[in-house]
Amino acid sequence: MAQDPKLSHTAALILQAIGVGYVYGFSIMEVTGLPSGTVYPAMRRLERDNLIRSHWEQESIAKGEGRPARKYYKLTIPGRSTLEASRRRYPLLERLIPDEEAKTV
Amino acid sequence: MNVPLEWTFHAAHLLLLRLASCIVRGSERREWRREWESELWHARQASLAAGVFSWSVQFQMTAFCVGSVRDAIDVRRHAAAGQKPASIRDSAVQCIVCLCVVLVLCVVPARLLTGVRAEYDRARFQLRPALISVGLADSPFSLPTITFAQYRKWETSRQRYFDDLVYYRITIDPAGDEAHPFRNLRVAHASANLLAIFNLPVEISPNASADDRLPQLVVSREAWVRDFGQDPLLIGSELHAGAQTVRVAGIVSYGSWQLPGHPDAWLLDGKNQLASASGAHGFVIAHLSSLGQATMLGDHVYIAGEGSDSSDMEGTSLAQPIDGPLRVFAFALFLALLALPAVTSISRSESSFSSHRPSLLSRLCRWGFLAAKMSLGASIAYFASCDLAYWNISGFSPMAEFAQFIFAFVICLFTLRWAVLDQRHRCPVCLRRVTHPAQVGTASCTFLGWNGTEMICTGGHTLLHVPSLPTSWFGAQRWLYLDPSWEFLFAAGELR
Repeated sequence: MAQDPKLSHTAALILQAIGVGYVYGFSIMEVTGLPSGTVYPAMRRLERDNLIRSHWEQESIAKGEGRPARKYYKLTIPGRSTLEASRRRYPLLERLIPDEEAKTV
Repeated sequence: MNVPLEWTFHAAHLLLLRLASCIVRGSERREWRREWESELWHARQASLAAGVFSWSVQFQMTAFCVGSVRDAIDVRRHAAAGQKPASIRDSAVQCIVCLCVVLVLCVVPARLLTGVRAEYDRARFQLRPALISVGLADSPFSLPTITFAQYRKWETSRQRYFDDLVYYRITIDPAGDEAHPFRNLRVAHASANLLAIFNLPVEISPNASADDRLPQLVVSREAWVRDFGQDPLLIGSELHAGAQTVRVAGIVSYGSWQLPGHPDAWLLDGKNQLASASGAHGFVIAHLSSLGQATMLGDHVYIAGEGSDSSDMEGTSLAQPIDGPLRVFAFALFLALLALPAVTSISRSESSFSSHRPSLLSRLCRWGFLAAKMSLGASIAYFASCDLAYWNISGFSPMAEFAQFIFAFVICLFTLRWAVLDQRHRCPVCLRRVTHPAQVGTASCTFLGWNGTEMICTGGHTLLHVPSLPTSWFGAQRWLYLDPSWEFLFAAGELR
């Protein structure tokens, strides 16, 4: 099996945010405190490396609720294992964005 | 809530997002703008829910939109870094560049070889028509048979058939000076009207003025190259030729020396000098009058001797038809084009399973590429045949001309064959050679299916199917155009 990729702290932070349930770009920015110019390119790279996956919500649902469709991000299976490895590498990651925070999003 | 201010901020934010999306590549622009605008909408809704205008919220929104510009720049930079420069391997550009390099390698020797230049000059500087060499009727053309006394007799008598006469005789004289070692040259001692009658392309020295007392020596380019090391200072200098001092008046081009005796230099003597050896035999060159031209039989004219002591004379035309390298090559090219169907199939031999058809521009490019290959190949054949024919020959030679014809024909034939075969293996869309040949099926195991070789365009445009055993339903190679569903197999943007 291929070795888990080594992520930067920023990428690991974004991965942690998505892992705990922050699934929109703006919410990830809010919880990580990272600016837009950092978050989105980092998410594109994570997506390119198959650590996260994105998909647009159905247009009909968004229209029904009178809002534009949003793009959701979620971890892939390799993304989960990489996140586990990143948590070991950066022990403070879970304290910066604990699991229970996502429930409020 | 300050609605106008809030809307002003919102309009500015949307404008920023639109500007940011313009930075992103066109193919990703819509996706990015949609995501940014969606996020902005949700963030704005969250702030509006509070119901009060908040500068901090607006600044947060603005920071988000300014961040989107940074996103766009970053995305653009990564896209540019990730996009590999299109490989020119097997591309049409590489092919044309290689042909150009080969052409240059063939042109350079052709410009340097003296034999090639001799053939050019020979074709360029044609002798005046109606010039004949006069000699005894029963003697070979190349032997001197006329004495100066006979020439003088003709010259002083009224002539109906000739309007100009030149006499020259060949002697082998040592020629040289302090700067140039003495060498034996075949010097033609000629009457002064020589240059006028031949209309020779002589590079006359500015030192050779009309009042110069020294006899004028005109050196052949071949002798200038061979015996004087192409010394540019030779023209105008004084030389010792035989027993006299002469001035080199100029160099005459190769093509003009197709005269009997093959002299290396022409010494324009006065009549007294020529008369001093009146017993020696020489050549007479005559220009036929219109009446004389009417009496010619083919390239010969017979002149009956006047009186019992005169012999019959025969004149042979000097203006031999000269093809020149271009005409020789044109004929070889014509024959090669005729022979091309014998060495390869020139049918278009291609079809498509799908309804896709390349654009008119692609088709024009394809035909243009084939034409460019053939033109460059023909040019290479022309110069390479000249190089090979005159590699070891310094002057014009009929054998070299024949060798040039043979070389030109062979090189043309195989170059054109290569161009056609190469074109068959070029993707009709991107003109890149198809690669990765894969054997499909075997003849012994296939009944109704096809077997042969399948090759693919690395740009993901086409598959080429070449049958191993041509059948009535699959006799020639076929192109299969790949639809966009194949794109995932190929690196994004690598070759497009």
